[in-house]
Amino acid sequence: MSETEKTSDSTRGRLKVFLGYASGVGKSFRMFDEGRRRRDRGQDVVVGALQAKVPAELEQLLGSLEIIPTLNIKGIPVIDVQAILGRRPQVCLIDGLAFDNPPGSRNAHRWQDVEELLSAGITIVASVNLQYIEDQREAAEKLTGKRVTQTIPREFLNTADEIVIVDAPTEAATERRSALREMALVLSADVIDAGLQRYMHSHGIEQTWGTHERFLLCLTPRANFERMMATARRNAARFHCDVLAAYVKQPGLSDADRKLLENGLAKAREAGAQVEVLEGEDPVGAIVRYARSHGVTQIFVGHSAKKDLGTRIFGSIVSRLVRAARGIDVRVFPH
Amino acid sequence: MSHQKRRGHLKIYLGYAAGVGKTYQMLEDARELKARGVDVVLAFLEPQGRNDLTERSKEFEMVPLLRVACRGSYIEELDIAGILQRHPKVCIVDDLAHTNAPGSERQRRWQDVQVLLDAGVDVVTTMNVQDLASLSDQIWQMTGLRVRETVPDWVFQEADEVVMVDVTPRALLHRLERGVIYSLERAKAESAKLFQEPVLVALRELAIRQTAQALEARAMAKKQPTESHAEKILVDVTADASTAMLLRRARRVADYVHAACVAVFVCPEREFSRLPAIERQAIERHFHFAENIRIDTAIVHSKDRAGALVDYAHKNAVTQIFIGPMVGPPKRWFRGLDFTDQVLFQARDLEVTVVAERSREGGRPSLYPEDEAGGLMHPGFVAISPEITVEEAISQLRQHAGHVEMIYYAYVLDEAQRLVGVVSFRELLAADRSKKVRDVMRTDFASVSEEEDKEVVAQLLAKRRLIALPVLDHQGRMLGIVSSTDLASVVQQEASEDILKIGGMEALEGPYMEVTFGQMVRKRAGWLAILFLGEMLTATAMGYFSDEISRAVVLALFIPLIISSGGNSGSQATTLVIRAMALGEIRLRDWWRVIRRELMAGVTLGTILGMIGVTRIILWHALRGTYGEHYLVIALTIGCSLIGVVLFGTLAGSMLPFILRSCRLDPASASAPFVATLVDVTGLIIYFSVASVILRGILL
Repeated sequence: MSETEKTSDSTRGRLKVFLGYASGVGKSFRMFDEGRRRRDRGQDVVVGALQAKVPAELEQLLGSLEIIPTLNIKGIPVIDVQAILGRRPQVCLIDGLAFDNPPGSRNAHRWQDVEELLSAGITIVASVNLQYIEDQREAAEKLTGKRVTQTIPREFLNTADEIVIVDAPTEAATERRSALREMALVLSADVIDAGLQRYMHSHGIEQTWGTHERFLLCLTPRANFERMMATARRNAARFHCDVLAAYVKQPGLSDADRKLLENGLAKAREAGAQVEVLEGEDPVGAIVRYARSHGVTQIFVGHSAKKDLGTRIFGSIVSRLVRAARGIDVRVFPH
Repeated sequence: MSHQKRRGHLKIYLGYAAGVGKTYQMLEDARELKARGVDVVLAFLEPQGRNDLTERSKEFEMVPLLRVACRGSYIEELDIAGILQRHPKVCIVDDLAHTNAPGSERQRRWQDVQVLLDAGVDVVTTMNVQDLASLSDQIWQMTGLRVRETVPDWVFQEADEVVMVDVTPRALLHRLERGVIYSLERAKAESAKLFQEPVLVALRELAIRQTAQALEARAMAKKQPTESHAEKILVDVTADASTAMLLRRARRVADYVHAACVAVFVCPEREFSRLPAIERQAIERHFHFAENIRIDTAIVHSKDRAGALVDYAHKNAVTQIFIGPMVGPPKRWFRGLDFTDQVLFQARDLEVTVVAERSREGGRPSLYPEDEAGGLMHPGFVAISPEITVEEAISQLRQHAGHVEMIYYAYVLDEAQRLVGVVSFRELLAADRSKKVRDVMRTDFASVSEEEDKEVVAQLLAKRRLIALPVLDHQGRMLGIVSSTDLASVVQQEASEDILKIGGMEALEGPYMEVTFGQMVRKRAGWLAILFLGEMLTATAMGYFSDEISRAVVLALFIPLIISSGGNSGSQATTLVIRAMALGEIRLRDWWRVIRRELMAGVTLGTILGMIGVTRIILWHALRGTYGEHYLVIALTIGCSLIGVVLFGTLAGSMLPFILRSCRLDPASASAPFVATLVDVTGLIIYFSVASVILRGILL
């Protein structure tokens, strides 16, 4: 058994997601094909949910699989969680994750049904389209022009143990299509990274492998926060990376500094950054500890061009940070 | 008549590990092309021992591989000339990261591919994400594996199409277990470090991100075909090995933000050539690497590194400076401004990024894997078993003689492929043919690990005077050999440093003008005092012969002539021998050959001088009658003495460097005056001894 399996709650089932970025790329086919292969290898596989219309090429595949039909409540297909739990298969296939169940159902959303099955130790193989992921919807809609109303939260997708992008043949690569494909690639990379982070955490590995760029902005009263934030966002867009922000509580700030800092904090929050407030006698140590535990690859910090006596004698706080932040780049912004 | 040739289209099948199905997918797609009537040829397919691939490959027309002559016949490489002659529309070239056999026209396969593309041939190829040059530090951090065969990032970015061949790590591990993936042995070797699920997961993530980046870059290029760099990154180049990592990181960041990139070395000397050789070589190596990954290079001359960097940045519209991690522990008290601070305080409006060293359990990151022994080695060696007889070993060597370059040595491996001994061809021929190899092999052989730096390898080769060194892995298993020809240039550089040492040029431990007056006086006064004391012996000798001198005052006239002749011939011999030593023409163990030569030379030279001396005395006597009636006997005395003194002088002069050297003293700084002193004293003794023999009863 692999490492990742051992780390996750051993009673929990595994979640494998086939991610499509356009309809008709064949994610259902891939999913059911995997179901068939698993069954051939001797696993106990059932189908828990089908799309409303089953295309002809799927018929044959499905013919060989056991199906637990969805309940039809007010014209809406709802997974029969009770029946599946009673049947207790090893693997359950769910074609389409983003469905809202009708009011009064066991769970409000289908992904919550799936969550229940996972908790019961059933491995789920599911398919979903990029557009149905909450934080991708808006961007995807702009590209496809299609509106969707039912989505699954990103946090749920992040719990996936495996994610597979279902690629269409590259021949008809229109601009729109490659933009969607890029989104799907970045999304799946992020999902993989979430899994990797879980693994690292559960194994107490503090080292950053740097598969994914993650910036930490250090707020100080006089830091040129706007410039830092602007750079971070520009880079984040290019790197497709996360931006974190932190501030270490310092005693004895002057009123002017406190005002500056609050101003900066407000701006940071306005810009959508989550600002973590850290405690610790040694600001350098607090920042580095936080950075390490969050897989940060670059620390952004401000630096004053003024040399005071302390700096002349002991070196600057930034150079101390550089020394302490072994394994993490430190990017210094003038102010 | 010239027409612009269309550049070939490059399509890369990107994977993250062996076995994800890159090659399969590539062949599958190529088959489809062929079915549509496209002219496709297969130029290279990595032999993986997989039947399905071999079968599939048979459907394609193949361009025969080229046998590279210099490294034994079983190394086959792409025949670029052959492909160009055939000029297909599409050419399949598996494994883009491959390193060609030494002696090939181009070092790397990606360079071969560039030639094909330039000629307008479309190329489809495969590579893994870990082959990207800029990722090698991260890969090392994750796996502890140093990727030896890398592809510069720009090659990947210039690809017209990138197809990611994806399969989840779980599925890949299943394939591995079921043995679908290539030959088990290779899988085993890699599996320990690479085929671990978290590592595969991370590699897959990198591959997906890389593919996304490639897509985005293409979309960007469509929108703004002319790339304008709003940002410019400056990389601080030093001789420190961490520069490699700095360059790779800068390349990655520059690619992400579409920035221009320049590597700057601040040279503290006015001339680059005045830097110490080791530093100069390191900088050249970094520059070479930078150019390889398409980073511009520049040298500025200044003693103030931080100031010069910032100044260059301001003058050249640089927006960000990349500097390396601080080396060494911080000063404990009064720390003051270290280099980072110096840059920070001067940088004013610039961003400064201090790039951290990507370390792995305290180790250093990979530098230039291609410079390591593992990167230079080749598998052309003869392996024999310790249990066979010498007779059998010789016949095995004979069989290999045709296609193995290095038959000077046979390597004795046990069943686990561990190296247990080395035996040279000469030793085998000299040994009793019925003996076992085990009994004639040497077990005190020198070897290097695969990570050994090439300079260390070169030193070892030079020191042990070997033609080749075996390269071993951590378990002592033999991987290949590095031969002296592989290292020719490095060995030469190392040897020239050796010359300086033998020649005693470092006697002053610094350039003449820079050594302080005190040091110089101390160094020289010591020797002069010793020599002065030695020279006092001449007075003692003269005193001993004072009786003879008083009886034949005429003998005194010739004392300066005799002893200076001895000193001159001695100094001459010393100088010649030191020079020969410095050039490596003679070594300590050659002293006997030198004595034989100098014996002959001494007698001959002495005779010549003697004859001149005799002629002079006879001539003077005939003209002015200076030397009295016994002038002929005196002439004979002088002639014989000169032969003896010159002979002694040359022998002493030629042997003294050997003696000093074997006492680990510097021959250059002391030999000549030492010889002069020695010969002065003994010259007197020889002179008066000869005189007393010849002149006894005549003048004495």
